[in-house]
Amino acid sequence: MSADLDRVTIDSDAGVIERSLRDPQAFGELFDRHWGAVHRYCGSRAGSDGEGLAAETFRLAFDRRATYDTERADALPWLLGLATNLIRNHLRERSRGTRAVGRLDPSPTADHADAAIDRAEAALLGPVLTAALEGIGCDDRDALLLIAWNDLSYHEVAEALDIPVGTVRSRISRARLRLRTRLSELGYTRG
Amino acid sequence: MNGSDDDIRWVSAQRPAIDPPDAVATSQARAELLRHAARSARLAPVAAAPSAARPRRRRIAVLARPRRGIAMAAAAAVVAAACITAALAVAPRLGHDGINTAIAPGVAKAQTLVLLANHIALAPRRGDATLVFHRNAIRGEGTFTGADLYLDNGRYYYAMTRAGLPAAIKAGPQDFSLKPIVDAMASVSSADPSVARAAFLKAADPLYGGDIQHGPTAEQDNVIWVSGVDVLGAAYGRPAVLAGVLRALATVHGVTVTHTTFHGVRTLDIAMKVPAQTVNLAAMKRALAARIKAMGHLTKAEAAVKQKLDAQSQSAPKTIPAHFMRLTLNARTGGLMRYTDVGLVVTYHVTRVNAARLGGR
Repeated sequence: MSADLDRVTIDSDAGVIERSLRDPQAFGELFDRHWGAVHRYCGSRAGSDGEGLAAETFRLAFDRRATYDTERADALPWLLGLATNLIRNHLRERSRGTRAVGRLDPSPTADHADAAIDRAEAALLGPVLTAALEGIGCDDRDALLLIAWNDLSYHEVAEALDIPVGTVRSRISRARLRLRTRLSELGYTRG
Repeated sequence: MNGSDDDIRWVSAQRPAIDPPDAVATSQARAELLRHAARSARLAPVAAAPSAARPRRRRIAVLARPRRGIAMAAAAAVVAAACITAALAVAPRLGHDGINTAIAPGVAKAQTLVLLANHIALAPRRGDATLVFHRNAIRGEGTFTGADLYLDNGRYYYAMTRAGLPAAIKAGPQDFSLKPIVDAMASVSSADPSVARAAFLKAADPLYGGDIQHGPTAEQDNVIWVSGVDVLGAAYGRPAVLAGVLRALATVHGVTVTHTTFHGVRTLDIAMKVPAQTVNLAAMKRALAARIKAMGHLTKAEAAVKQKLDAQSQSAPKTIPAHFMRLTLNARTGGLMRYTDVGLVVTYHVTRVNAARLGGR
């Protein structure tokens, strides 16, 4: 019993993932640890579709668990990265439907992928946040929301999105510059 | 982030409000993930693979139950069902029955309970007391009721009926022997289930004669199952305690959880399989005698059982068929709704109340 307790207590996410390679059912422990955070993130970005995306995130994570870098004890950034990609693909799919409906009034940017995703996301985030994030590219927005909504560090965002930390810094810097401008334009004062 | 991070904080504050994951949907997502895992690994899914039919000891029933209300039900059930329910309470140690006592607590099959625990741990409860009204239908003995009133300040009152509570309150608080378990569970509401299990057993140990904490795993399971039912009722007003108990219950070996409905309410059926076994009435009598020797007395319920046992001429072992003990919980709140065992059906109505309205203080 005590040995079992010790094992359960000290197992990091990486340990659970390693164990799940031998015992696939052990992956359920990772679900228990992070379902709430992933569910919330997906729900925040994809509305009612979020729950399904969160579930899909864990299925995808299971399929890719052999590639997980076990040097990273905390798997949440990885899961959020997978979720981010799924959300983006989902928004892209959703935007196709939006475009089909919008063909009667095509805009100059109708074929621009970012703009299409913007429109799809706008319907989910609400007018205020959408207005503030306007003009921030998808990649930059993903990094910004991972930090703002999940308290990830730059390093963790880099892990999540599988990009260098320097790239994260530049994306965040660009996103924040644009965000501040928009907030100012929208009349939100700082402080 | 530093003082110039107002923009980040602003975005954070704009995050759309999301309801916490629903317990049922969460368990479905988890089950689907594990089915996916099983398919991928060409293994049978956990949910479809019942536990190996290890011989197990049944619940430690009336003799070991320190509280009054349900114990009376069990006491009657013991008698009505030819001592079926309680007999194993004092059976020899599991090791002597050929039971594998090295069973590690199995959490995987009961993760739904952990998820429910996560859910209800956040749920506020109104009022300052929990009223557990239970109707006990006992085969061959008819039906009787009980009303347990648990004040959040720790006081406990019992009466056979709701109407009897004011008088019981006036007479003064009664002893709620499982209080140490309730208190212990409050601190493990978000702990690993195995930690909750250890805390449960540590708190229960003195109540069961000081030999449970390090006893056979299957016997520990029985303690958690039996006392857990009562604590679930008492803890309805304290979500953290409820969450702790559910986590401990999730470690009971072979426990299964099924999504059901009961009177139109989404419920979870928690089942513990009891294999066919033989009840040793003589051993039960010996254990009663041992308890008198150790404790100096028996509770009223225990005394009633002893009286009935003494009145029976036969001491021959009796066979109990394999069956399930089932506990039905409200899937959203974790509230007790029903308990079934051989010859016994207990239906619960658990509510939050203001104790002052019943005369409590």
